[in-house]
Amino acid sequence: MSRYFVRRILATIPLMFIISIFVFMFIHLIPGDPARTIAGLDAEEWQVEAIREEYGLNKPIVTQYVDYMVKLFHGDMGESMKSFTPVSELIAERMPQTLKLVFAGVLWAPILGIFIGVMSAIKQGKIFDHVCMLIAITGLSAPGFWLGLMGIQIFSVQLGWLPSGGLDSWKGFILPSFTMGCGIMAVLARYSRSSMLETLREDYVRTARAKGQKESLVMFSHAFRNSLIQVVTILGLQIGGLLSGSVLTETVFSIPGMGRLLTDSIQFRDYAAVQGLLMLFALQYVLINLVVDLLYGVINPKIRLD
Amino acid sequence: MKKRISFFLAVVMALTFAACSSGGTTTSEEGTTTEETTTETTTEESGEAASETSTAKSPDNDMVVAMQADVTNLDPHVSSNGVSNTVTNTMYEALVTFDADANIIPMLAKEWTMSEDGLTYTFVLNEGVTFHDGEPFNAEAVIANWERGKADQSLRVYSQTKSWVSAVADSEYQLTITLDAPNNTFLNKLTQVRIVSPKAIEELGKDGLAKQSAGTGPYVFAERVDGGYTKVVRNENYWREGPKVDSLTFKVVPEDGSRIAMLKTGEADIITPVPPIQVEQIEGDSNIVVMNEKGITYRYVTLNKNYTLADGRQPFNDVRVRQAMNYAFDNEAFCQVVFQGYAVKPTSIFSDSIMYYAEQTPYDLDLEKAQALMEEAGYADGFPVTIWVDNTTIEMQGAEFVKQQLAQINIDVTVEPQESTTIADRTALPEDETEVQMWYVNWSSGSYEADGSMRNILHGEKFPPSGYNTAFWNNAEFNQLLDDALVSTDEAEIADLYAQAQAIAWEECPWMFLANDNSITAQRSYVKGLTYKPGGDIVFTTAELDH
Repeated sequence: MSRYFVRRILATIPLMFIISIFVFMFIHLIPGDPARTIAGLDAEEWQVEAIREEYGLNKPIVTQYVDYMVKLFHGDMGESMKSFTPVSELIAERMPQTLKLVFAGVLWAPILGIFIGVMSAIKQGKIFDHVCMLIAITGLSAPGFWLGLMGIQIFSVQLGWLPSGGLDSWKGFILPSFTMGCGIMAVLARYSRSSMLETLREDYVRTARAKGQKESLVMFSHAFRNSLIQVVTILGLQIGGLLSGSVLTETVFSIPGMGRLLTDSIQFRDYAAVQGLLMLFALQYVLINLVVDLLYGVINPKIRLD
Repeated sequence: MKKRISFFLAVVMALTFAACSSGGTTTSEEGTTTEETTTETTTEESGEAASETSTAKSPDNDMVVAMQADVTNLDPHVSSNGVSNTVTNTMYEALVTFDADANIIPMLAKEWTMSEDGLTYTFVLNEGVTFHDGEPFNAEAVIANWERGKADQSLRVYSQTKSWVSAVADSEYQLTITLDAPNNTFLNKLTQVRIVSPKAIEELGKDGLAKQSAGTGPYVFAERVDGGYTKVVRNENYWREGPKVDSLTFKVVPEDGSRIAMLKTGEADIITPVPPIQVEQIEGDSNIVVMNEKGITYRYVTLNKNYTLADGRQPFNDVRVRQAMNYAFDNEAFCQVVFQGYAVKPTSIFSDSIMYYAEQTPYDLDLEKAQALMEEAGYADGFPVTIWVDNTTIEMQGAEFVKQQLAQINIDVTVEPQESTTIADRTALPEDETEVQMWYVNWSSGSYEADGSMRNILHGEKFPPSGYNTAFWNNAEFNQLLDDALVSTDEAEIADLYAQAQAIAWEECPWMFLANDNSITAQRSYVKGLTYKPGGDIVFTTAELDH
């Protein structure tokens, strides 16, 4: 187990290296010039050139990449061209907001989603199943920002119960958490239902029933546990996307998180900030998938790879 | 069971409908809206109207302003875009400023005189003014600001003061500035030179000034969350009549719908900007006052004269084609459809809020004339062309409108939306490399200058990358008029030269002239004491909340 763990962690190093090349090339190769944005509309060409010089933007792109990686290995993510602050500081300032938001969504959505999915599978074809799947389909098809704006319209403007933005109080968490979690809940409800239905058709479930085990025991210790494998994979992918995918929720609810920092930085072509954020998102994706792989082993000992 | 499902569906639909009908947008009837809605509402009128209809009070004495974007930098010498200025102008002041009608009025300087030759200006400064850090404001302080720009030319303040040859303190409160050449925009530009405490320049530098304030303004910096908000509090030692509110918080709320919601719930006292399409959502609310100000934003489409068709012809090099395009364009309909009436038909090459504006005869819609001109120029069958436009909803709608209008004279326009930074890069290429054919764009001079409204986008020396003349229009007479006016010291002569320049460009049509946008902001009815400048700049010096 520990060898597997170490091997998986080591395997992330070349992966991150390749990702760094892609991230760097993408942001540098798309058109747009941060020097021009910094200099402003009324700047002379030589001023723009001076700014390019200052940030090393006129060097060959490979040199720029090597410079960046050398600095990165020394723990320096570079300085934002927009705000003159170190990128690490910028990210540290924004991260708590996004983490709070993600946490607020992750706290209830997967549990409720899996619960709905499993119960629908058990009550397949019944009214409960139909209503739940209708909710799931609605949650899947309604775009997050639309749900958010509707939530604001109903609960902030019409009813006046909840604030329309910010995470300043517990009340402020309700709408963003709902917006963040809705999609995940719906996806997990669908997946855990189909996964559970599949498992329920397995021979060992029939055997368990045949030997007269209690129905609840059949469901939860035989069927449910085995159906979790698929669900955990989906959960990993969903949570992985949350951190970088929080941008719409952050925009609708005016939360200064990492998603908005990323879009603002891309707009400005703030290279160092974009690179830092994308590398971070990639890293967390890799790590979450690592955790998912390790969880497989916990759920089904047969998958444990040594 | 089916009944139960349909009941559930009905409930869901009813809820959605309730939300939509109060919050959604209505697109019908825009055609029947009359011109009465445009520009007539002034700040004073609407302010009075509001106080009659509503007696609502603010629950606290902290003013909250919801803005679309964040300040780029708190150092007034570093950034000077519109949003940044709105915030930094609460903490920093210049020697002179603009009033609500864009006239230059005293601020840190009490009075000033210009020498006969227009080269030297002598300012008498206000006494007893102190910076937030306790340093006294005097002539030496102004000089230190000029020197900061000289020492670091990447700063915006350098561009604003680069025509100064010398700045000398005649006495503690008298300052003489000498220019390299007479310049009719000197005082306009001076409104943007915000004076920072010399001690702070030396000790805090660029990094420090991004995190605190050291100006003479009515508010002192309190706290800031990048991308979240910037909070300033009342300056208790302000040198003249100042604000009544305890604090002012500029919140960043990028989503239009969320800003509207915050104003409705009272979470925000002022929101800026209000997209035209959303005005009707708040118009009937007696607790809300919509400010519809004359704008300074000029909207146009540049026509690259070098654009060459497959057969080698250059349609935009023919003034008849350019005029035909203007005759085929229905400006009034454009203002109604794209801007819901919150824009006006242009009557010159810049807005009438700008100094030295001279009215021209509008290109009224005349399809027959347009078709005749196209035929005369040999383009009766039209030609294909691509228009570049920012990929935001309202900009793309505008470009689509242009496409529809030009189809009437057989010009086949392809709309190519792009992200704004990409367009900025692609339009900065020099004449022999550029791919631009038509560019849907807008321009405004924040310092209300005629020169600033024309030079960068129409002068023959301002082809990219030195400027934004993407029509590549180069008229020697026009260039000369601009150059002569700039160094003239005689008001009447300046006005005359600029009037001639406007007439030439209007006749020559280097662009399609589309519209002047109004600037729309909205506030709760209990907000008092603000001044709105043309273009929508809000002055918070005497801000007050009825609470």
